[in-house]
Amino acid sequence: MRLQLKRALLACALVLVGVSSAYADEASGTWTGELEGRGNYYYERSTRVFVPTFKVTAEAPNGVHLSADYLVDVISSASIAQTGGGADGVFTELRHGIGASVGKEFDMGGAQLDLTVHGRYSTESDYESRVYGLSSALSWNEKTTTLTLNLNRVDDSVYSNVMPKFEGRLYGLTSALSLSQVVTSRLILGVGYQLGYLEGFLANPYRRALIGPRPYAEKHPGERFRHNIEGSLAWFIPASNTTLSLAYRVYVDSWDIMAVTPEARIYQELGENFVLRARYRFYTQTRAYFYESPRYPLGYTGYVSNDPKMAEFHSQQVGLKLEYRLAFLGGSFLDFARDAWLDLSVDRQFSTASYGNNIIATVGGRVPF
Amino acid sequence: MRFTSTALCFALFVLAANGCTHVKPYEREYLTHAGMDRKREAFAEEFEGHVRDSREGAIGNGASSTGGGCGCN
Repeated sequence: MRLQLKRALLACALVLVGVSSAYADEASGTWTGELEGRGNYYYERSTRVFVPTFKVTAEAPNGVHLSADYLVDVISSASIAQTGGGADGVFTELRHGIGASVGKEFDMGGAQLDLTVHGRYSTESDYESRVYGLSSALSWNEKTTTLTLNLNRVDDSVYSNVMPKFEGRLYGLTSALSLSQVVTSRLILGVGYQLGYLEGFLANPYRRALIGPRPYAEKHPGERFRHNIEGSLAWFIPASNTTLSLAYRVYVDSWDIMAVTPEARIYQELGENFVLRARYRFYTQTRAYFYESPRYPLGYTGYVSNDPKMAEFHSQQVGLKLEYRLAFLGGSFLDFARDAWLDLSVDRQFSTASYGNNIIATVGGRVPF
Repeated sequence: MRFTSTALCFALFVLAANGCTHVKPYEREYLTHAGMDRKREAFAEEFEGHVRDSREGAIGNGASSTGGGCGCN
């Protein structure tokens, strides 16, 4: 655990080193961009996750843009499944993830086309994930209308820490089509559709489901089609410097899960350097057609699952976020950071799922250059 | 049928959106305020998206991967 903490601290140190190099780029005057570093924390009854992460983005005057990010998950969990014993035990696991993208915006007279290729790789002791794809965004009407299409390929390898010979593969294709429209000088509307297709090993190698009195390995269908439709609205109210942001998602899939997620956010500017965000999110879903709890009847031979997210449940989330701009640094030896922002957010989720309630807290900062 | 309905709604939205009042670049000061562009918060919310990916049955939370992280396939 101490070694993992050292690695987490090393990641934070890299963020600070990055801030220095960002200033060097600003001095050259040829590239612009942003460096962002964050520390994320997740807490629920039997799981804690700490994730330091950072990202750098840069854009050249000719429209070429690049990004790179890195994260490390430090996961501590109490679980019968992963320890392989008959009783709860605590395990700690590390996950490293890197991502990168490169793209360019092409000016086509009355429209602009942005093409970006991106990739992400993450690895931990029992899981390797590779995601790569293409993003495109076409804007017209002086960028008041933007149509976005994303295509991703997923290629994951699943292992087990308690069954050394086990290996499962998971393949997937995901696509997302969205449209954003500036309707008036203070109103933006958006709609989007996502389609996902997964095939391969879609269960969890650790989980066991009860058939009668005996536990059996979880067995999920080998493919899954997922559909998600969402709409959003952002409306600025000049009299109070308030932004109201609303989103609504409807999800259905081939496992008979249907979910609805309305969310409301209010951004309140407090002077020039503070922004307070309050949010409320509701989530509800139906159960997968093969999910039974607490056990399947004796002699059952179909798909079995003990995955809490296959069950019917709902949750409510409330959260606050405070952002602060470091404008007071203007004119000092840290003048390069006068437009940097720091933020702190805490969200509390109340869920009827068997995972229980949880807390998500993040602290971060971003420095433009 | 479901896909056809979705495509139809999307096409109608595109047509309707193009008929809206044209907002010139110099009229977009309000659009730069906090909360008007959710992409500014995208990186900050990737972690939450990953959490949702392993705790909820749906997609649409910004998660970039189908798996990984605490073995929650």
